Amino acid sequence: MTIRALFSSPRLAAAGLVLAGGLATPAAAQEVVIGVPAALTGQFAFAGVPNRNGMQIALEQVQASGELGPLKLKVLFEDTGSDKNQATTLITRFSEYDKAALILGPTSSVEAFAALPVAQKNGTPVISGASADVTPVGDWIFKATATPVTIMQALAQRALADLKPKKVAYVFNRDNDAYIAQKNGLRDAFVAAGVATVAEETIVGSDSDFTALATKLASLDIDTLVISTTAELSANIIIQAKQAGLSDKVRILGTPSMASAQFLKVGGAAVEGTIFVADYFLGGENALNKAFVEAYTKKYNTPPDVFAAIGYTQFYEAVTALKAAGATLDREAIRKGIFSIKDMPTILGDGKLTITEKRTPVYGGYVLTVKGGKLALL
Amino acid sequence: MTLVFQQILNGFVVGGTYALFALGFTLIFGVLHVLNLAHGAVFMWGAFVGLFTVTSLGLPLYVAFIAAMLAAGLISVLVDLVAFRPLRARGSPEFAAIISSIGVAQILMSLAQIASQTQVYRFPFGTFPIVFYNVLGLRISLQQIVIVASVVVLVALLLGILFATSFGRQIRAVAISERTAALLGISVSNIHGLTFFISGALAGAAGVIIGIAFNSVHFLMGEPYLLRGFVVIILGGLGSITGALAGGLIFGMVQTLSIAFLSSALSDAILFGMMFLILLVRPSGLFGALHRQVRVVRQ
Repeated sequence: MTIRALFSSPRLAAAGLVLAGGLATPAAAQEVVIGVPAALTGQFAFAGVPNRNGMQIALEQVQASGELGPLKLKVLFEDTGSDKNQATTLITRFSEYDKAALILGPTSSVEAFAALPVAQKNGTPVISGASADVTPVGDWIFKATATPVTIMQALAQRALADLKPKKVAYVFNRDNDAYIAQKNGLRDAFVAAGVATVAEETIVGSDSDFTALATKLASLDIDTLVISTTAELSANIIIQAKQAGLSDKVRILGTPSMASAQFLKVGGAAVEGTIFVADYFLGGENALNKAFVEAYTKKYNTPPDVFAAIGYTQFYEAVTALKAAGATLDREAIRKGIFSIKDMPTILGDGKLTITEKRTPVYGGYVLTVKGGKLALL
Repeated sequence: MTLVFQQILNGFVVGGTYALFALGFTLIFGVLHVLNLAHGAVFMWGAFVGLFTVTSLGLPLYVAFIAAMLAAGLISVLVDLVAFRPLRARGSPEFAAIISSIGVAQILMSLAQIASQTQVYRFPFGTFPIVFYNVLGLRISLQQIVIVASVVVLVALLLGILFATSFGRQIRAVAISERTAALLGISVSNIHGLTFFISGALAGAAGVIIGIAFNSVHFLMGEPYLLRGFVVIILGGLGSITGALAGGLIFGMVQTLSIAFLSSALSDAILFGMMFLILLVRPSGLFGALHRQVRVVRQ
């Protein structure tokens, strides 16, 4: 192995960085830098802002509890502008200049796929809140939430058992990997169970006029319609499809994005009875969640949504990993720390989160519906 | 067969909204020979003003419509004052005006983002009654009828102003030659302001109509319309009123029919391919322009 090859190996390069930057050796004032590249403006800000807010609540709770002892956290919140180039610049800055021990972000899959190879190259551990499965980028990349395929399994099993779909049409965002993967997750489970795919229709995130699509959907012979896109667009498609004459007998299934106040607000009466799966449920009975909802609502005057819950969880995953890393606190120790997360109390799913070998967590999921204008467990 | 006619009807209505958006866009090009890339942002602000009038002030929809037209008209005049007039006064190349209009658009969108906290809004349920009529097996909503009627009324008004009033004569004179118009005693800068006002008012009307029709008002809503509006006016011929109308209808129709009978994934490719073809075969668009000369740099 030549010297050059030695340093092009990510792990060794990271070790080199650690040595060069004197990163978080125990004597280094016990300060850990966490970089947060979040989409605070631009098209993904709907997720980035609550995501940042959720982390902020977690940060305040951790600081108030003193659970990290003398260890100080320096959290750098920066805005990616929903732009993948800016996300890449920020991740480069965090991992090379700020010597961040850990990165929590970026918000969207679009940014994550563009920017995370930089963190991988530099050997900086990342816990990403993006919904697509970003772990194939490399072994330094972890996912904060269950993969789209995993989370959709809960819905697929429930739907196959209780609703027995036979003819299904799918509508999904073709410009967002997460929504494609969620649609595929559900479709593949349905196809494996012998359910027919009648149509697959695509939209883009900036659309708002679905008249043609709505008329087409209303004319199809289907019993189930699957919609995989953002909360606003899902609601909008449902409204327009019903206005175009989609029968009330057609069941509408969707993705975790529907478990949000926006979906209910934009969709109104039209989204009543829609069924979807969620990582997070505001009405979750667990005590941790109740405390989180109270703190969040008090600080931001609005109840948390799924993105806030993900931010909160992401931050606690980081804190748990830091504790597990022990005294060394270098990037490799933190990476191992993330792997060691097991049965961490969480506000997501069934309340216990474990990081798997595949660098993604498992924590079950809620199957929800809209009842009387509110989210309810199905 | 009913489905085909239903989709043609849908295409006609959607095309009407594109035409309305494109009219203001093409008007500024016809008179000032610049592309106002802030038109989408003005349109978006029109929708927000309409929404605000209905939700916060609790006023009826027709008041919101008028408020949106006035507000968007004024914002558009402001865009002229900030982004275009100083450059015109200095005789800068038209390319500079395009760049400066992109800048104003960004500022307008950022302001809207702050004001709306990045949320997607919709007009409250019941702002517009949801009523459907069955005509010869076609499903026609009151909303669609009102959209088409508003487009017709606004176009008639615009044509009335342009071709039957002294203001309109002055606008057309400035479109043909600013210098000659000035020599004839026309205040060119007033006419520019007026043109921007009319263009903005049309955008504001389109903003409210589209916001209601498609249940969505948000700070980025102008962007896709700007891009499509651009295709529409290239199809129809830059600066041509008839062109914007025809271009809008063709665009809406092709988009709807390609989603309905081909694939929703293909519709943009077909539309932009169509624009490419038109540019190759007929660079000045389907219809001649209000101002026939197509210039890149001010002479």
